[in-house]
Amino acid sequence: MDNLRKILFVDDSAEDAELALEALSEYNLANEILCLRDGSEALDYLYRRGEFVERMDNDPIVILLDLKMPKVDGMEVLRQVKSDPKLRVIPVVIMTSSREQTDLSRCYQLGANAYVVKPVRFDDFATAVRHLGAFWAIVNDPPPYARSH
Amino acid sequence: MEERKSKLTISATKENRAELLSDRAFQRIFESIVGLNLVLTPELKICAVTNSYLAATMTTRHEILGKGIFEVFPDNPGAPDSLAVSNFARSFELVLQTKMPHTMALQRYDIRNPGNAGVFEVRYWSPINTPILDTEGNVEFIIHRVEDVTDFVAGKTAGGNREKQTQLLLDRNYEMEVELVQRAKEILAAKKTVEEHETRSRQLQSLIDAMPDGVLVVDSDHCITLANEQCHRMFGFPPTALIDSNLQSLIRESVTISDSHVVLTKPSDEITWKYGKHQDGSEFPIHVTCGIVNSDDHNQKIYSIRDLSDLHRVQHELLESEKRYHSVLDNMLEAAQIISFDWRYLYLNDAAARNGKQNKDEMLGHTLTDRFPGIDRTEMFSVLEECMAHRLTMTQDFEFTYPDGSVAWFEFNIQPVPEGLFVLSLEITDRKRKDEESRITNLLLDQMVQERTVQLREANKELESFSYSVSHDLRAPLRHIHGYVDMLSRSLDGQLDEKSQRYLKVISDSSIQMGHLIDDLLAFSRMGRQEYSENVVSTDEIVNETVRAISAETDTQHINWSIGPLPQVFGDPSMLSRVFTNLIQNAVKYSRDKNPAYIEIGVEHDDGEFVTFFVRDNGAGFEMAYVHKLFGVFQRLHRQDEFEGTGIGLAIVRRIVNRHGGKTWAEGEVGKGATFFFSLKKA
Repeated sequence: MDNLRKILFVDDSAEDAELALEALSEYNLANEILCLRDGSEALDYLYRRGEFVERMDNDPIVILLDLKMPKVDGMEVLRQVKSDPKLRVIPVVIMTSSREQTDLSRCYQLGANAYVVKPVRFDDFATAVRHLGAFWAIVNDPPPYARSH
Repeated sequence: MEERKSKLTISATKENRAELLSDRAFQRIFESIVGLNLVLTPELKICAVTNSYLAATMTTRHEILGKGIFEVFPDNPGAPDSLAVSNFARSFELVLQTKMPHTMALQRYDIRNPGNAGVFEVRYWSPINTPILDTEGNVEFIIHRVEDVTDFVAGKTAGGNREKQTQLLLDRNYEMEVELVQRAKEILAAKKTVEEHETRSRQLQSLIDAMPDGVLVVDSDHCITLANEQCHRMFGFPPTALIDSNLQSLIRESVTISDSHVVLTKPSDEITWKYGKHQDGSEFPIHVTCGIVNSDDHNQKIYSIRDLSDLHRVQHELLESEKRYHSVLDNMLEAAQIISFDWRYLYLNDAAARNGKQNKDEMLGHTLTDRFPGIDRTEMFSVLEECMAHRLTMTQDFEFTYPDGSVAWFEFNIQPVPEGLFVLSLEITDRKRKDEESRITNLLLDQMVQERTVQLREANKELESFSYSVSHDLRAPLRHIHGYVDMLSRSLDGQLDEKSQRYLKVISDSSIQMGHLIDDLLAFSRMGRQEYSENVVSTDEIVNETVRAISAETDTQHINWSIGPLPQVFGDPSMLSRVFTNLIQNAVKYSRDKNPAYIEIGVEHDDGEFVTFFVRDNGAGFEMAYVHKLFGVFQRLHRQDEFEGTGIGLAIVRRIVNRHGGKTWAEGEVGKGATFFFSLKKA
């Protein structure tokens, strides 16, 4: 059942999403990759609100989270997820362009499971995404279901 | 006790004065003494003689005074067996030696008959010689007292055979002996009296001489009979020169003595003459008191004279200085005024009148409210009232409105004085205006500073969000360019000609280069903003670690490392690590064409506070002409195709070292190598 759980990719950049999907496509991962465009969509999804109120699937196997997004940014999403006893078991990987020291330390303090700076070079970017996907979807044992439907 | 003592002294002085004044009288008394007395100097010269002695020896005072005794009374050439002169001489010698009285045996000493020259009359004498000692104990005088016993001796030699006569003579002899003893006693007593007088007289003289005031005694004709040393000094005369001169010569000619003290009836009245006349003719101020000498001669007067020159000079100087102060006060810049208890102007200086915009005369004697109606309702006046009532000293600034409506500021300094209040005031309108101006300027400056601070804070915030944006947003498009070019070239794989492939490669490389630039710029900006912690840092460890890491990356390059002993410094460990990393990386990069490369890291200068590090290589070096550009942001002295890089590394080094209070500089030579220096605070 685990391999049915989705990878949640939250990024306002359609291009980054496309590039990431392109990179991951080479792996033919069984997991569906759900791309959401900002923090509020991500929270709606996780809390089954708004357009996701009827959502039936399990919580994602990993959340790949961009930091700088319109409306609710990645930091806020991270904060809510990690302070919610039900959601905090979901691994959250920060994927961002920023190497700012403050971002790094804040994210880890809030409980991020990993922090990856997106490389400019596509090869490197693709490699990073592939590694991440492979690690979290295949290598890593995810936490047991919090909720099952 | 003290008082009694001083009273005693005074009375003693009066007594002594009386006795001293009878000195001449004493002389007369001495001369009239019944006994035959002669006073001799130690040289045996006659200096005084009694009338009876003169009569007994048939001489006159005039002919014997000042002469030697043996000159006046030589041996009788007709009595060759006479030993009188030698006996007398021996006795005198004895007296001079022993300083004790000596009584001689009966002496025959013939005297010359003044009426019949060359004829000597037979005389028998009973003499006693008594020394008078001075204060040092030396013989000052000898009193030679004799008794003419010629008749007695004549009787004894002529009528020896008659019993009765013998008895008579025996009786007479006995009486004579008794008489002699009696006389000797009298002589001793007389001598003692003379001594006492002399001693007292001397004491008195030195006492009078020691007096600080001049003392004069005059007789009824104003003839000076006594004057002490001070008196002589005061009037410029040598000691004793004033004796017998007239008192009139010592005072101003226009004033006669009789004018001045005719009505002098009781002692110690003040005398009206104010000036003494010095021996050189100059006049000087004196203060004189006069007394009547308490003696038989009521015409004697004693004057006590004090020289007032010093006092007058001091008084004069005081007066002068008072005048000076007055003129200083009058002409001083500060306004000075004395206000009486009933609020009248008692004194005003020129400045005070000027400040009041009125004439001094209009103000003097008038009240403040007269001259400045309404002043009693001002704060200034209430402060003055308080100072007046409670005798307070106060300094305060006041704004004063003149009757004409104009306004001025004054600094008041109020002090209570016996007359009322002394007020010093200084107009400070200009100062007040300047103070006000500078206060406003300061206020404006403060506002500006605050505004600027807010602006700066905002700018800083903007800068932060800018670099945040740069960090996040600028890299994303680059990533996209690179990613899509990559995807494009893959999807067109084999369909592109060489030219198109090169174009795509340039796009791809440029996006990568721009990524580096952005990263470095952000790193540089971060160095300026990053929190800075000061620790003791071991540069030795940092350098070794850095060299180890870099050597691992450059294993193809042959490098000879030389790392000197490195000290501990104060600083931020991660920042300092960045400094060494950048410099060592540079050294490696720019010496990569050398084989082997030499890289030396060490300490060159240590001034106790700062220590200078250097990183030296034998690489490409640089032209010293461009050394000033080395540490600038994005400044490079080499082309990208020679040595890749963004030109941010040294800018970061300088920024970090500056933040640590140190300095950075470099030396280089093209093709020979470069040395980079920086100083850090020693731990």
